[in-house]
Amino acid sequence: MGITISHVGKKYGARKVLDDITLDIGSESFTCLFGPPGAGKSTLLRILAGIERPDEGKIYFDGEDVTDLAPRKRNVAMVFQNFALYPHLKVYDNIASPLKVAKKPKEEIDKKVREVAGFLRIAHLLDRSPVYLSGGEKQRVAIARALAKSPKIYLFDEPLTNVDAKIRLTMRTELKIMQRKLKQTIIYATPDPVEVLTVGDRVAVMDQGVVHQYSPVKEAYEHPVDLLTGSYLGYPAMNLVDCSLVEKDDKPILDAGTFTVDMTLMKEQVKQFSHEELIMGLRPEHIEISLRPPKEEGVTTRVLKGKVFTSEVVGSDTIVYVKVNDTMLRVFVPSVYRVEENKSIWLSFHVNKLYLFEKKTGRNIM
Amino acid sequence: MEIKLGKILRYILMIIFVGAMAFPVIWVVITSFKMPEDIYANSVIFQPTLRNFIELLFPATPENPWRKNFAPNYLNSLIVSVVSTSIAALIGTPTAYSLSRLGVRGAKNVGLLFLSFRFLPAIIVMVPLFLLFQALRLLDTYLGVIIAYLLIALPYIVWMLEGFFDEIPRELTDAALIDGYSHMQILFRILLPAAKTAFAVTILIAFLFCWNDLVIALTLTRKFVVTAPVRATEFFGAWGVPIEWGTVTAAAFILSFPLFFVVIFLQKYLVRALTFGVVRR
Repeated sequence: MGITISHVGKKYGARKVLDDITLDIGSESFTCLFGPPGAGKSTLLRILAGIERPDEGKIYFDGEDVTDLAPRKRNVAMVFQNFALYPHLKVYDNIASPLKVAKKPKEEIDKKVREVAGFLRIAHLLDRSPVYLSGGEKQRVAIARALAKSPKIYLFDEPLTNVDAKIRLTMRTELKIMQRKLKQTIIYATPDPVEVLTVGDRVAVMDQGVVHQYSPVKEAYEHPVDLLTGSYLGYPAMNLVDCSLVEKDDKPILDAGTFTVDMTLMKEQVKQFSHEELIMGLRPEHIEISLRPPKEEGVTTRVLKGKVFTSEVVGSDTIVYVKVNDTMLRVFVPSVYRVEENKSIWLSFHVNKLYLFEKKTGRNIM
Repeated sequence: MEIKLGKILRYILMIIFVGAMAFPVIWVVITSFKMPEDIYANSVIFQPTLRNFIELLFPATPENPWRKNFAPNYLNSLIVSVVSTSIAALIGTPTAYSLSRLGVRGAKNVGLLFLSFRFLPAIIVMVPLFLLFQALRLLDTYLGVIIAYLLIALPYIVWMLEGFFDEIPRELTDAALIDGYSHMQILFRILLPAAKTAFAVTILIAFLFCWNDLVIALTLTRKFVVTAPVRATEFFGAWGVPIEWGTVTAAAFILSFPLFFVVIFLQKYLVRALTFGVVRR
């Protein structure tokens, strides 16, 4: 089922939590609402579910205006961050709950409950009370309850935030597989860029009630429209360095104070931004690290010499923090990489992998 | 050594405290089973008797002109307390739900307004209530007392339940709305079962408030609907007439039956229920 969100606004008291949101969400797509806490993701989901009314704007499901429709008439299911399981009901009855309210025949309920419980591998928990389940199990039960309802639209509100890290990894993949099987529209709110990059087809990057970018995930990652999208969407976060564009020997040079980058390759794109305050963005995964000075440095590749400040191993990857003069840069190494602190090190990157943002507006200019 | 001394001191204090609290109660219970001559005797040994209770409960006969006929008063108390608490629960529960969940404008103020009646000394409320009930011919009627008791039970139930409901995560009711429940179904199939002990304790405490009331019943009843506590005050007699301690203590004993029941059966939930909902977000 396709969803159209048209100029939706919502205020809590004087605070605008959603400001003129317009999104067209395709049928059977996996759309992520991505942004930090307070971005308005949950509010938007609650409006889609019908638990809250927008102050302005309209919601359409497949072209039909549902703005004033009660939640139970909307054919949506929602999975909450804190699971929201009924504490006095057994797992079986939790999953059966939407079917029981709909007064479905007993055999049909039983068949459906066992089917979704099998699918989510929680069949052995059906007689238990949800109170005694682990976070991952609780969330599976909550997802099972949503699946049992067989809605046209699934709303996920940070479903993996309260689940421990290991389960989160497997559940991410499972969610993706689930969506392919279900072939239904999924809207998934999350503050975690990795989740967006793994599960999402499209992403709406939100902050303070405003959508900054709405595009396929890959496009948002490769071509962020502004500083906010660029800095949020990616893990580890993009390196951001204040700089300005100066001319030296007829060459456009990015001067970050502590180091410079020759921009001759990008001459045409950057020339109009001469002498403006800019922010240089460089993704940690676009920097290569080496212990000896690399041979080549030319117009396409820039090499910087730095010192290892510290490093942290995350899973089977490593984030190395390197100080180039006084500027700290994060470098992503896709393996467990042990390197001594204070060791001299060389960083190289392609100049065309650089992003440039206007400092004033945050707009991406390259 | 010091720790031990502190511990001993603590136990001594506790024994004194518990003794001071329990002694009058024990004295009342024991006295209610004594013959009049045993009450003033110096011996602790006595022959237990039910005479006081018989004297208290049954109507006077030519042979026993001093019987008090207390049973109808006890029944009056039961009727007005049970009926008003039930009505208060029936009205108060959905009220508390809507104040807690439906985004009623100024819900917090309404809750406080409900409760503020209880802040006033009862007698201030009784003057206008008396005049009103007089005009409506509700004095000394079951209906009158029940309506007045609603003023006690309803605010308490609304205030307490609103607190309980507020503590239940909002997502739980949201999930139920999306599952397809109506608000009434959410209240009776999700919230009340999830908070059933809290609910039971709240209702029982509301019942005790009505059961223990003296001022309202004293003002509003004369002859037909005199409740047990009002009647019990008569047993202290007039000036110069000796007090029949046997009857007084027997009345006190049977009046505290409901209280004993509540404390014994709900002890472990009671403290929680009294403090639950106190901390509000």
